[in-house]
This record gives sequence, C-alpha cells and structure tokens, in this order.
Amino acid sequence: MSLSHPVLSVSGLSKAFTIHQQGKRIPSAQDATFAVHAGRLTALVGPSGAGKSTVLKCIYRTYLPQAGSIILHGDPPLDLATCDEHAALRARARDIAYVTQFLHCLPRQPTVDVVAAPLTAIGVPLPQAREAARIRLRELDLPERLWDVAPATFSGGERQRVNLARGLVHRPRLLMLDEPTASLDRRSADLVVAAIRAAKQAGVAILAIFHDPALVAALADDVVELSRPAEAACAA
Amino acid sequence: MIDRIQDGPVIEAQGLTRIHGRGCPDCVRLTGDVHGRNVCPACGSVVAVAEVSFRLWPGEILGVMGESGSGKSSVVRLLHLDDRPSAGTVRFRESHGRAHDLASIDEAEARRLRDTRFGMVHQNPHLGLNFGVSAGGNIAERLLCCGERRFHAIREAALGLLDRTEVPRARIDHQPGQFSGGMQQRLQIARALAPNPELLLLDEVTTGLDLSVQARILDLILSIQRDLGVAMVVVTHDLGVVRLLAGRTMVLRHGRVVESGLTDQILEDPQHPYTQQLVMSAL
Repeated sequence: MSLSHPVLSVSGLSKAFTIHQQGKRIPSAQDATFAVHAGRLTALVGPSGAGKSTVLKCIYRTYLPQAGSIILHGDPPLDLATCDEHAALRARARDIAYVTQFLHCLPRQPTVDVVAAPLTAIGVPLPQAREAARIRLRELDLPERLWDVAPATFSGGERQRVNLARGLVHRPRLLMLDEPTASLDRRSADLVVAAIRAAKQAGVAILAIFHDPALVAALADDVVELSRPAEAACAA
Repeated sequence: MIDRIQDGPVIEAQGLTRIHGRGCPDCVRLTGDVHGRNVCPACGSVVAVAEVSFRLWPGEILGVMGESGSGKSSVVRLLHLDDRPSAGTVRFRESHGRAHDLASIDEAEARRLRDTRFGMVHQNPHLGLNFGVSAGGNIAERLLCCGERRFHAIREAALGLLDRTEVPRARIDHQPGQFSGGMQQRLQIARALAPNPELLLLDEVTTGLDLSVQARILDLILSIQRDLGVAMVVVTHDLGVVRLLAGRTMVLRHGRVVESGLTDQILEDPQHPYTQQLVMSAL
C-alpha cells in the first residue's frame, strides 16, 4: 500500500459569530489543527458546542473563519479560508463532498437526478451522469422503484443513502460526514457504514463526526479532539 | 459549468456607478449604506448604484438581492445597455473571445448585443413581450434580429423554444394576452433564449406569481442552466430564489454592495448587519 498523503491540512482554525443586532460575539471553534489523509478516516470528537460542525462548514466555506488556514493539497494547493469564491466553488464541484444528516436538494427532482447533479455540474452529459448515479444507488441498496421519485417522501434511512450516493458519485478526494448515521435504523446504518468503508478503500480522505463512539472506534484511523472555546473569548 | 471557468469571466464590472441628476464631486462620498441614503445631500442627485464590482463566469448564476430602491434593477439596466453608467467599466466577453466595454459602446453595437447576445426577462411581461403579436411572433422577432429569414426555420425554432419552456405548441398562434401569468413568464424566457444568448438577465421573474407557478419557473431556469450553460444574473428580493438558483449572491443596499459571497455563506453566516437582519427576518 502506498504511503497515505495528506489531502487536507487545517491549522489554527477559529470561528466566532458576531451578531450585530445584539452586539454579541459567540465563539464556536477555537484553534483547530489537524490533517486528513487519503484512504483514512479522521473523526472529530468533543463535547457539544466544541465546534465540530462549524469546522466542517468552514472547510466547505459555508462559514467564514476568523483565523487559521485550510489547505486543500493539490497542484497548486488551495487555502479554502482565503481563496476567491470561484476557486471555492470549483473545489466543491471537483474535490469536496459534504454529507449532513439532512438532504439538501432541489425539490421536485427525481432521486436519480439528485444523485447525478454533482456530475452534470462538472459537465458530464446527463445520460452518463444518471448511469453513474444508478450504480451508486444500487450499491447503497436503495430500492429501484424509488429512483424516479423525488426524495421528499423518503424515510430517514433512504434519504441518508441518497445523500451519501450523491456525495460519492463524482469521486471526491475529500468526503465530510456530519453524523451520517444519526437516527437511522440498524440496516440503513450498516449500509452507510459499508459505503464509508468502501470509500476509504478507494482512497477517499474522510473527515467525520459520529454521535456514536462505537462508530468512531470501528471506522476512525485518526481521532481529533476539539474542546469548547474558552469563555474569555466571549468578550466582544 | 464549473469547467468553463478557465475561459474567463463573461462580465467583469468595475466600479459601476450611475447617478441620476447633475451630480457633484461629493455624490458618492455622501451616500450609500454608511449614510443610510442614496440621495446626495449636497446636490440632490440620486445615486442609483455606486462602486459596484463583480465578475460573472460562463454558466454561473449570480443572485442580486436587496429591497426595492437598493439599486438591483439599475445594475440590470446597465448590463442590458438600457442605461449607461456615470462611471466605471463593464467588460463583456463573447464566447469567441471578442471583448467589449459596455460603458463606452456605441448605440449600433449596443443594439446588436441586446438583440443577439443578451436575453432579458422582466417582472412585468408587458415590458418583455409584444402583446400585439402571437407567441410565435414574439420569438420570431428575436430570430429575425439575428438574421434568420427562412419562415420554416423560424417556425421550427419557435416550436422548439416553446417545448423547451413548456408552453404548449398549440398556443403558438395565440397572443400573450390570452396566457396565464406563469405562461407569459415562460414565453418571455423562450423569447429571451431565442438568439442563444450568452447572458440572461432575470429581474424579479417569479414575483407576484402563485407558489406552484413560481416553482415551475425556477425549475425551468435551473434546467436551462444545466442544459445550455448560459450565464445568468437573477435579481430578486426573495431569499428562497437565491437559495435555489444562485451559486453566489451579492447583497445591495442604498446602491452599494454591502456583502457578496457564496450563497450558502450569505444565508448561514452573513457578515453585514443588514444581511443578518434580512436573513433573520426571513426565518
């Protein structure tokens, strides 16, 4: 096996929210430093309020961090904390998948197109994108009769599998998972875990938050502990 | 289409400013979000927009958000060459590489660009459609502007565009006045798309329509983006519309850009007090 290289290096990442109307500053993540390697799973752990989800959102550029760097390695490397918006969009489209416990997708779109969307967004023709989507949906064992239906009526487990299928369809280098098995029944959770293992095998670098310590033990190669930001940081 | 980013931006606006009135050296300095006004206290001129800069890439949808009077429609009018800026430049690059500065272009070239390279969809269908001719005629007018003269080719193209925008073919000879509001908007989109434009400007196109009709138009806009890869500027006061359509969003207030960024960042981590207030009041 080849030596696993870092795909993402996060260093000194801090994020606080300033709420102008109330004149408040709410610290959320403080000085997070870690790396995520190809073919390995890094688990973010820590108490509620330690900023685990915040770190994922900063990496995805949904949140703008106050300090720190978020280097997506490549040629050239990209600092997601400071790069321009188009570079961030490009990284999202090609390199990074972000799967939360909620399925954010266009309403009214058939499941197969929801899953195919990341491919069509990078210019893959629709028929090929749909074919790749069907392969992913089959792997995640989503019943075929659901493929042409919009996921709005799906159960939590079914939605989550659609979500993961979409995250993996364009073969991202970095997969971020925020409680991917939360509130799933046993069988759905097992299917999701199997898909995570397969992605790891395929060399995807994975950064994950699990609510279940047993999953951290079973899946994580590296564990990063975040602590709640110090109260002193609250002064505006 | 993210991959076309290397081609360079379709639109590059720098310091776009439009002042209505005689203007004075202090107009820009004394107006804007910081002062909470867009009327110059020194000379009484209206600063519709000032110092607006942005880039729009092929296949990208840029959301322009703000309340009425914020300057969002002024930006669209400047892009569509219905109005000219008092200061600033707008570079428009055609796909074959030819670039123009829209701020200093002559009227003949402006007409050519409007007729053949741009598409515009208005909130008010009376501004975007000719109610005196049929649906087919509305599309044909645009194709004629592009130099198409063959009757059958025009009719075939019009039918294709009606299919594309889900207007029943049987309605081709009906006048827009006989259409529902949603269908009028779809016909406007068909007309705008006729010359296969490189820039599509959409000004509050779903405002005032029923929710189900809005949904159908938003879906149509997304499928056009997916299939044709045309760059779009979507002006709206509706957070839901930018959430659904736009990859990036620019927030205007008192004629100034107060914040711009990836749409999900604008909605989930707004930085400017005004954007925070806007997002909070929508929830």
